[in-house]
Amino acid sequence: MLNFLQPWSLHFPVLLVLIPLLGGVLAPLLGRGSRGWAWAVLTMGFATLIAIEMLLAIRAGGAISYPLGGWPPPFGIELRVDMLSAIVALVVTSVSWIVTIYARRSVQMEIPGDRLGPFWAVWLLAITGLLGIVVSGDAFNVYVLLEISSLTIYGLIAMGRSRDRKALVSAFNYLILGSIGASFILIGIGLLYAHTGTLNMSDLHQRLQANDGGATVLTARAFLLVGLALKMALFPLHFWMPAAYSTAPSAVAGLLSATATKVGIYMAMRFLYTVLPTEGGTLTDPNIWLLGGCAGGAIFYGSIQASRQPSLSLLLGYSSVAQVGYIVLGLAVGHIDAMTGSILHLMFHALMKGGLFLCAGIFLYRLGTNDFTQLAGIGRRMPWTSAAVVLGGLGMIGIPGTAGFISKLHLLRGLFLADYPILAMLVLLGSAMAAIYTWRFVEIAYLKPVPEDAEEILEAPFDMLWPVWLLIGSSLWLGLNPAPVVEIATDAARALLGGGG
Amino acid sequence: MHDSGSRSHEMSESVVLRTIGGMLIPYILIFGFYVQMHGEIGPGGGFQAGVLVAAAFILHLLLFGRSGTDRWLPRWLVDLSMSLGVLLYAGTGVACMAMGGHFLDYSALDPTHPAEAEALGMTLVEAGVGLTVASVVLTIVRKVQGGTR
Repeated sequence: MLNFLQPWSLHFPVLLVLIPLLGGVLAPLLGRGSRGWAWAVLTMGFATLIAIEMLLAIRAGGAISYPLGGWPPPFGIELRVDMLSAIVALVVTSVSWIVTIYARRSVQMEIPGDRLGPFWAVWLLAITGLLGIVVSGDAFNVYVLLEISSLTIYGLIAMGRSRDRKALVSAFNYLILGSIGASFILIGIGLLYAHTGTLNMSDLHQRLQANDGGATVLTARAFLLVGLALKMALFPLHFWMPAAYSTAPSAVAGLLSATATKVGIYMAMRFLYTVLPTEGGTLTDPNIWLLGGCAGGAIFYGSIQASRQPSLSLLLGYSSVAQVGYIVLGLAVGHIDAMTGSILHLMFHALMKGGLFLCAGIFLYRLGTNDFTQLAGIGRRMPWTSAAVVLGGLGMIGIPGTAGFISKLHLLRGLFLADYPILAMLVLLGSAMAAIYTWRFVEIAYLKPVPEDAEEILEAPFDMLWPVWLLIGSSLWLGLNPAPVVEIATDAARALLGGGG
Repeated sequence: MHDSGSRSHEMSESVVLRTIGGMLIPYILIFGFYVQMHGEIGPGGGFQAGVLVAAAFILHLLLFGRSGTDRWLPRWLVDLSMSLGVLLYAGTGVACMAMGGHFLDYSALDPTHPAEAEALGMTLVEAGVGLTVASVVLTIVRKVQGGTR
């Protein structure tokens, strides 16, 4: 551990929330220009450092519990970080750090100058909310922090209006649906509280396990499932997502695809396995088939839609619908390998899809659009960006050597071992369909001629290109050296299925 | 009074409203501060007080128009206090951590007099909440009044 962090090591869970919070409220005071951006980069770098140290501390010494205000749980509010939370926290901080580094030029182009200070404040506050959900050990605080992140994210999406007026509509749709989802989650938590009289997650789980309460808890489960499905954009409640991601400022789309839906999935894992009662550590059959059916629908529908979209942003949005399907499939069946695959896919998808959305943002920055009609022959005009898109796409398919292969391999093994061959077939089918939409980009970018009236354009500036390659490159590197990540993901999966961590 | 031209059409036409409203504002403010200071031992606290203080300024805004209020309470000050309130809250928590306690564990502020330290910590945190709530409520009303700009 770094020496200067030693005296603060006890406080890592709360620091993870405090650093972006303080960074966020200070950002608007810094004024115009690039200062807000530099401040955000600094803040997120520091938060990433904390997340890395916290992951190492948990790997060495097990889960960390932090009593806020010194009040012991279950009476006080507890922050609780186990392996799964530490992994998701690291994914959120590190990917949003890299996206922040990338974002300077594209944000300056897409956001009016007098809005830059507030923009970075809202950006950091959104990350604060997401990190808060991840470290919270208290069900009601999860809801509060969910509202913080949701409200800021609606604002971030709406800021796309200076590029595309439709951003206002998609932000409003997301506002309505997100609020319905959040209310459902609140009703679910309220019912659990009515039944048990506690809000602390591990306390809730113990009490519910001892007395699963019939109709009240069943109703709570139904509300929570629908609310969480809306928040993580699980088919058939996904429809806000592609529109929101394609009209948001391009850096925001990168940030959200890598963090917001991932935190939604984290909440689903947390509530289904460590709050609601389980049957010997797994879900009951109706739950598995409901989630598995939705996930299968997501994979099928998302991939089909992705291969017929008119622009790269929309393609990536629908591809995210499909990828959420894989992750939910793994978390539903409750087999250790499938859960490991699900957690791995959560990490790898954040890297790959984050990188891909940033590529879409680069096309937008250089061409003013990423409609496929304008991208003909782009492989020769912007070779580095296009190559990154192709490599990211290969990861989506799950070609051996990419990170996507490792996660899908675990997922498939888990599905076969848990005896769900139909769902395993869906994963294979979805991968084949990912090949179709990736090929579509290859065909347009490399095989079609450059339009004759096309203006001369340059490759993306280096300071936008290297964060993209860092994301895509690290997904390739993890595909070739998966051992340490697989180890921590297996730890997290085991803790989750063992009920609590 | 360089802005009197733009002020005239925002300001309330009625002398009665302007006079009586102007007389009410100090009392609303005092009641707001009372609720603020009362917060940690009785009903009240930063949220309620913040809304009351904001209500006083909103009344001022309705009676004397945007530029009239801006002379009493500059925009930059409102923007600043949104951040300052959160900083005060979180700063109190960080101070507790620096003194060896947990986040917001006020008794750590003064280990020899934990009861006084708790009161101090709570007062500071409530002040932060009040500052942020008042300035945010005022900002929301201003934005709604001013359209999308």
